[in-house]
Amino acid sequence: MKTLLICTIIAVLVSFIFDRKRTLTGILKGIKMFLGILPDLLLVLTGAAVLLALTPESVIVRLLGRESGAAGIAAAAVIGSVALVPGFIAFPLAAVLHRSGVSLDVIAVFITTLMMVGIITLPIESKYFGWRVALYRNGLSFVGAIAVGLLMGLFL
Amino acid sequence: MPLKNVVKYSIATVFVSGMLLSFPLGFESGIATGRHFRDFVQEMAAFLPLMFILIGLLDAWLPRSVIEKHVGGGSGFWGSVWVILLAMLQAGPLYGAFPVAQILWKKGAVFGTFSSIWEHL
Repeated sequence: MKTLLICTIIAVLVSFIFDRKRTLTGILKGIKMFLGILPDLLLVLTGAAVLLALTPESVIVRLLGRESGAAGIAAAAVIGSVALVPGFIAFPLAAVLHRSGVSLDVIAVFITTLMMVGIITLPIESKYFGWRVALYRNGLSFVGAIAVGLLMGLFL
Repeated sequence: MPLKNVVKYSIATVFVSGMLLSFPLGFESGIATGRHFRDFVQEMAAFLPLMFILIGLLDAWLPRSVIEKHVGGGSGFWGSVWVILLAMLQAGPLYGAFPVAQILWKKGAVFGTFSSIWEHL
């Protein structure tokens, strides 16, 4: 995050030195894009917060921990696809799962779908690229995530 | 502001008020929802404003020809390598990647080369 802040400051400064007008146009364009997506984003985040509150950590641990193999991977793929979790929560959550005895291939599927597949962010994604592209990307990522899990199972 | 956005903001406001009210009322599910929402807003506030400034600058400076040459049609294998390497630098939430991808797309990148790869941390 600090890196992002430093990069942004440097980029703005360099851009400003070269061309003030263009810098302002660029920043304004960025702010406009941000405000354009903000209402949808707020709605998605409230929905995700409600969903997360309904399925606390202990429930996720129970769902993934009790089962192993194919059923565990399937459960991880589905939960990971639906859930939206902040990045700084995802890895600690994975650590909790690991400590509770969830196998690594199931955790790999969970993390990968969490990162790459977003059912709940589909409305936002479709705004940028259209439904067709959004559905293909999510579908293929889902398959890819399961492949990652199966390969992890083979290697570990 | 378009009516659609007014409606969206209103719904979000109702939900957030409900979360805030849950704290003094001691409504457990509402409090849990509020805590998750706070985490989300924290992550969003940390990444998105900066990212959108960078995206705006990218849009203003990056010439179409550069994108087309490196990750456009016919860039093939090396186009994919480029995008994977760049995408690994990206941090932040999934929804932060969409606008970046869209800018690249509009400037002539091939969708397949960056679509699903971006989201890795």
